[in-house]
Amino acid sequence: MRKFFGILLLAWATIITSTSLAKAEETLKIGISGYPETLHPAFSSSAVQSYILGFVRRQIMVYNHDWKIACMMCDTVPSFENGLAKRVPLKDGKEGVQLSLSLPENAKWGDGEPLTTQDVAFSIEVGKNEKVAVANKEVFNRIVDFNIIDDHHFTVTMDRIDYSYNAFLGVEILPAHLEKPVYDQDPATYQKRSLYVTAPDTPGLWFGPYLVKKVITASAVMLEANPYWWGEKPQITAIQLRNFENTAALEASLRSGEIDYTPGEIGLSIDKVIAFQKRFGDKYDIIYKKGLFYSHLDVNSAFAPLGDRRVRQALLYAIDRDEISQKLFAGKNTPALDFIHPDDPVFTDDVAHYPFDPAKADALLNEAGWTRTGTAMRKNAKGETLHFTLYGATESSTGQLIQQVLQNRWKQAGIDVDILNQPARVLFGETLPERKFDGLAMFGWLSAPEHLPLTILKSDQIPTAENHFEGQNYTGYDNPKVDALIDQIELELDFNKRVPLWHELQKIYATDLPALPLYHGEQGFIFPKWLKGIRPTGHMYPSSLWAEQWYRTDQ
Amino acid sequence: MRRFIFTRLWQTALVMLLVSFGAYVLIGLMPGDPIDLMITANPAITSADVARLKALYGLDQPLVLRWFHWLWSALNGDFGYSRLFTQPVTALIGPALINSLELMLASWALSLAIALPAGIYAALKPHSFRDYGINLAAFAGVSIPPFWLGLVAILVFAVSLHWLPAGGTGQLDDAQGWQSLRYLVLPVATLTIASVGSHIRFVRGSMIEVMRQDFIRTARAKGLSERGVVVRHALRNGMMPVVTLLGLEFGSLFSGALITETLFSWPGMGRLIYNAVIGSDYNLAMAGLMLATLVTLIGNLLADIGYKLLDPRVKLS
Amino acid sequence: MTRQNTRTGKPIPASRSASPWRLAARRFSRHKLAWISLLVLLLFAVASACAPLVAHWLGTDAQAVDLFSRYGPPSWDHPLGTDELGRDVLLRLLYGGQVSLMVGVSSALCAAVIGTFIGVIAGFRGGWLDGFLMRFTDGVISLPLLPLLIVLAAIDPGKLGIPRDVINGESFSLYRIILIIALFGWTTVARLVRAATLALREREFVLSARALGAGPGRIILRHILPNVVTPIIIATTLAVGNVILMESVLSFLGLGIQPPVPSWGNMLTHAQEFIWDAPLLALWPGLLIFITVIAVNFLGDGLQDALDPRANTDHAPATGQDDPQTAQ
Repeated sequence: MRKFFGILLLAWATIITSTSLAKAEETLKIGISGYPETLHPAFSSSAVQSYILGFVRRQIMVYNHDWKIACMMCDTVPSFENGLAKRVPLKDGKEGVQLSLSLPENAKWGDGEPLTTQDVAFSIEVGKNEKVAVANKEVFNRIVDFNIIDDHHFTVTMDRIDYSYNAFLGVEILPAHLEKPVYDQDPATYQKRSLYVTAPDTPGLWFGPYLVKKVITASAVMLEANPYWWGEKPQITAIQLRNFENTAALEASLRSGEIDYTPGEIGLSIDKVIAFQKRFGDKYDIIYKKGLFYSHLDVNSAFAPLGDRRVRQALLYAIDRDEISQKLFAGKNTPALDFIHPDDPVFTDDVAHYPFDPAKADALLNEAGWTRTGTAMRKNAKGETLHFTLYGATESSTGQLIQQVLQNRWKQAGIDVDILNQPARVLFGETLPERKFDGLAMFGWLSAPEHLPLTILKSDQIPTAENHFEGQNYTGYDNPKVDALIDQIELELDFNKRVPLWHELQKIYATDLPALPLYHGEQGFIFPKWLKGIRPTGHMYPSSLWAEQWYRTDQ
Repeated sequence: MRRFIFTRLWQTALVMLLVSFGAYVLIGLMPGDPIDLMITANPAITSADVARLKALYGLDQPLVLRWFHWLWSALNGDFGYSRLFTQPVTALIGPALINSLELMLASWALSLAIALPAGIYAALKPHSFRDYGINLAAFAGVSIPPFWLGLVAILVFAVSLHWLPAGGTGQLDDAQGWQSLRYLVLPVATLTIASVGSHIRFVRGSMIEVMRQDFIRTARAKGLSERGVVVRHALRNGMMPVVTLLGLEFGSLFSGALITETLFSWPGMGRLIYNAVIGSDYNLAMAGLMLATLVTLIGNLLADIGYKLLDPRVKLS
Repeated sequence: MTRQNTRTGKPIPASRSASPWRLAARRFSRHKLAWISLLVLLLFAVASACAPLVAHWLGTDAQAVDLFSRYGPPSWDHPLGTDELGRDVLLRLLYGGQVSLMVGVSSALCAAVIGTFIGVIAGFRGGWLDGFLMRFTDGVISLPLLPLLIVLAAIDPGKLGIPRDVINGESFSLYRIILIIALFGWTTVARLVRAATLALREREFVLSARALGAGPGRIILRHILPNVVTPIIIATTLAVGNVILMESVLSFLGLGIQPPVPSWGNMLTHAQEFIWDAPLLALWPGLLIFITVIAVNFLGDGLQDALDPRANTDHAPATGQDDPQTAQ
């Protein structure tokens, strides 16, 4: 028996003391939380997928670091002013817009094949095919015509002219020389047979500064430098993206040096990053980036007590969002006035403000008929208690902290609130679209700059059984004035004329409060001291799209 | 014997059928379907898209019909396509199964290697000081919340001491030979601590039981040394319940260990099945659950047969 | 199930029940660890029950958020410090204890009731019903437990016709956990009870009762149940620990009892996210779970020795042999 344990001990010691691996220093190891459904760019659009694909593919156009539309795989952003955009009559008599675009002359796929307009044509053909379930069909439905001028120049015609008429977004370029034969065999099953699925390490599928070298499903994606990349040569030659399903494990791996970096887009939540900074801030560089993430409480207007605007306003007066920001987020995640981010060019702060003001909350609630004696919960004339449920997603631990703070504040104001958290699939799959929440629901949107809240605020976007729960107007907000404003904004091409309309929309929103604004979220990036050049964007186009600018100072 | 095996085999098939139906219905009872999840991720999706996607995944048909369809394909060897990972289910299960087996077999072997001597050692002198000591250790192991144990192990051995990697299989670091074993240490240790206690208690219990039997007394009366009694008579009989236990645990080797795998980023069956179930990935979830169930049932059957072979006194009904 | 250990079904004829119980009490009193365990568990139970008193004494309540004293150190006002929202840790542990112990005990009891019912019927009726029930039990045991618990924990109870206002109550997640763990936890008891019943069915006192014209219900109630109560008590005791561990695992996966209702499991889960800032927050609930589960195991062990001295300890501890993969 002793001998046995002796052997065991020896084995243990050998394993422990065996020199740790000669570190593959040239590889940058990035820890992320999540793994995309597929690496095929057209069939999914999750944040994790965008992040990974940012290294190995480029967009035709993106929002850049200044939140402006910019060309990535084109030469100039078209506009009516520079003549690259033209009003054209459509067959159905309406007016459309034709955009002229040109691809970079030296663009190549990862196998050396030139990247041409043929590839764009193929991508649009796939996207428009009814049998193929691409993620953003709407983009392709808007494309009414496509013309190849030569290998690098093409025009594309869209079916309407709106304020973002010149943003040619959402079309992912696919390699016709590899994917077309697969697609032509049978478009209906293309999704399953695509090389992106069957052989994602094929170099010709990619055209970023990096290529996918190896994929370990659900665990990791390994990238290597692309020899045919035509742009700035990346200094870092290899990148590894590792998926962690547990944030404590992600943090531990960061601390133990198994990963070098975790991005704010899909890494640790802001409160974790703040806590991390307190402990280890001297050993890492930590950047916070304000983002287009709008966290709010959707109010179900069909739920009687909350249908009263005064009650909604009182709910906001009764909570101290500044305190939450200061104490839970170290001053980050500043309170929101409405759904427009302060850095957005159409933002205005000339709207109703709701600072922490228990007296005002009390007055409004009394006025609305919800009175209290002493510290009891408020009741109306019928003797009903002012009570509702606050919903949230179980996955969001940050959200749960906030919920409990809010519950406590409302309790002080005499409002009885239950907290109910559901898995995201339940919350977003059923509770919200079917408007089954009897109270408030807490969640956030990640959007693009000057994003029109068409699906969120318009009255025809209220999900019902009749429209198969389409639309995201979960609050049931129905205001003809807002409907008209949104239509006006959409069709107003002159930015200067658009701004007042946006301001008007924000004013109504902040007064009516279809949803209670909480904060605009921030992202936290934890870098090792030697990693430089990463520039967070704060919107849905991730920092990895500029990965060739990253470099390390220790080599 | 043949009849027994035959009867048990068709019963196993029946159980499999029922379990498959039950699991399918249960996954269907989860709120929201996979398409709803896609919709929330993408504000631009339209109802036409939704209808198209639902048709693509067959979600527009009633649940029972979908189950029949699944069953028919599965019986023909086609386990379909994973919606979550857009890959054939078989291509996903293969590597996950290997990872899980590696982890589970290692901890199983280690656990038994500790439990057998420790359990027997404790059983030879029940209620002695050493028995209490071993019992205390055994109970302590099973009483620790497993994710807490794993996390503390990572904090101590990976973060503070830098002795061992915090997670992964080593595949990502191109670890070979001894090096790749380093990745096994923490997850295997965590799993073993959680399971060795019940093994020890089981071995101890069955040995104590055997040591009380008449034939042991007879052997002692015949003047056999204590060592001879234990080795020649007690062990053989005492190990029979252990064989049963091994049969029962056989299935868990194939269904992996979700918590440990999650904490140590170990891409095994536990995580795969969990993600599939949570993501309503019917094909993947069903294949994983059915595999785990089938293996467990076979394990039970083998345990029964093994029990009979080892102990002729047991009659099989 | 022939491999089922029939040893556990040692019948104690009902007529002589007084003195064996006293004997058992004497044997139990010799089991020091079990005694200590019992005292510890009682202490926890009483302390948890006194939570409102402690709250009154400390002049605060368990849900009072104070963002100005997050991660506070132990002080007179907060003997164990404060948590990530500035709430009193001691109070939350006490209220968490109420929940965890309640879930553990009720779930184990529910499982025992289901298991006894199925076990007695299978053992007493025999024949095809026995075969069916035991195959069913086999089926349940052979399921990979954790994924199915996860499915059950995520199922929409509304689809099963449970009214919305019940579902939306804060303590619904609590009842749900109790129920779903019981739904899978009854197998151990069912097999033990069935084996014991099978053995009892042919015993003289049962046969004679039957000959005297007693109906099956009466025989089960008067003669069978009193004699299978021993394995039930032992298995149920051990199950309590198992349930408490299971609740912590489900909490870890985000499917346990939902905050703000505290349980040791969800406190531990939340604390692990703050383990770098406040390791003590993770220590307390972890320690309480550990002590409770280990005490339950010792208690079960002691009861086993006391009630069933000859069938020595063939029960595995909390993570019983029926579900080895459960808590890993």
